[in-house]
Amino acid sequence: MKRLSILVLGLLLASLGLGQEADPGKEPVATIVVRVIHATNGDPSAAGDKSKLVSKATSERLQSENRLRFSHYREIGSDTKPLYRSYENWAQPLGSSDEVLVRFEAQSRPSKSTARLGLELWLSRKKVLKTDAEVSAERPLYVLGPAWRGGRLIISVALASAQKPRS
Amino acid sequence: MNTKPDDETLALWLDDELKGDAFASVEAWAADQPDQLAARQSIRDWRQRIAAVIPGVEEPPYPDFFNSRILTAITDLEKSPAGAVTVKASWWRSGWFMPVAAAAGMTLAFWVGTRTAGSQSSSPVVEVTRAAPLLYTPETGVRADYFASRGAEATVIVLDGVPAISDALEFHDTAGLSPERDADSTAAQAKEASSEVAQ
Repeated sequence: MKRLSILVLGLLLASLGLGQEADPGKEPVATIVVRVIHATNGDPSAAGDKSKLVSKATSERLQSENRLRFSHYREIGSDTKPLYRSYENWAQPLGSSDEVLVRFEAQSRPSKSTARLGLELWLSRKKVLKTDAEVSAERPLYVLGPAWRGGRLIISVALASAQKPRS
Repeated sequence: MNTKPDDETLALWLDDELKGDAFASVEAWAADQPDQLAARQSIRDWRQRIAAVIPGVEEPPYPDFFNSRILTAITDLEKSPAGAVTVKASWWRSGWFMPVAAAAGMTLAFWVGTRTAGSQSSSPVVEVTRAAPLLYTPETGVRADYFASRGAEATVIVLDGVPAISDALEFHDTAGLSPERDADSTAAQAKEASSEVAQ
């Protein structure tokens, strides 16, 4: 009886191992970074104590575009998630809050520098935008989103620059 | 009988397919029905025109040749000894070759499958070259505009008409709380949020 139990356990573990190998769709092919930036012409402290200044490069980049031009930019949340070969994934940049969610999936195999994504932006548990933008580490997607505390939220979606996507 | 017949009986009468008492009964009824009589006459005329064009009986083409082929086949069958009709199978259709070939084929297919299952380079690379993304805004009143910003070196989508997020919501305070807490629940603030629309 003991031998039979060991045999059954072994077969179960082997089947689990084979199952994992047999699903290449779960292989991460890139890493996606989603940031939420509070942009305002008013008091930047409205973003909260724990918000942080965005980098100077990001600030200059945003201010160079007329529609995204504000006096102050504060990052209030970010999330980094793998992009799977054939599975969708969700970024939840505001901690456990589901006020801003981004669903994404690969629409083609990412190259070394870019990835075309199927993207959905969910605000307040409602899907407000569906798109298929191409993003890279150097060329992110900015979505000028809802108003909040005298400013607007900008949702940034980009490839992670530190990790090269697997081709 | 002066009662109107049912549709099925009337249809048979119109086609001259009705016999006996049923025919007499409908015929008596139709005597003062000029429309029905005209309809039956029209069908009769049409039938005559068709019969004039299409022959009722047509002989098969080359009947002599057809019959001679059958006679020849019967004669050959009678002359051949019983059991002599079996044709010697080719060597590749013999009893041993087909199972061996099938097994070899399955083995080859399995081997190719194991070699290509984990291969990444074998899957086709689909490069989507469309520059402008598709935009879809399912919520009523929400509009999305796309443009490629040279200054920001980014793809920009501007959403208009999305409800503002309540100013009372503290994202960092809610980050560590469970979803059941009031501060993290946006449903209760939907009315307030929907009244504020993004500029």
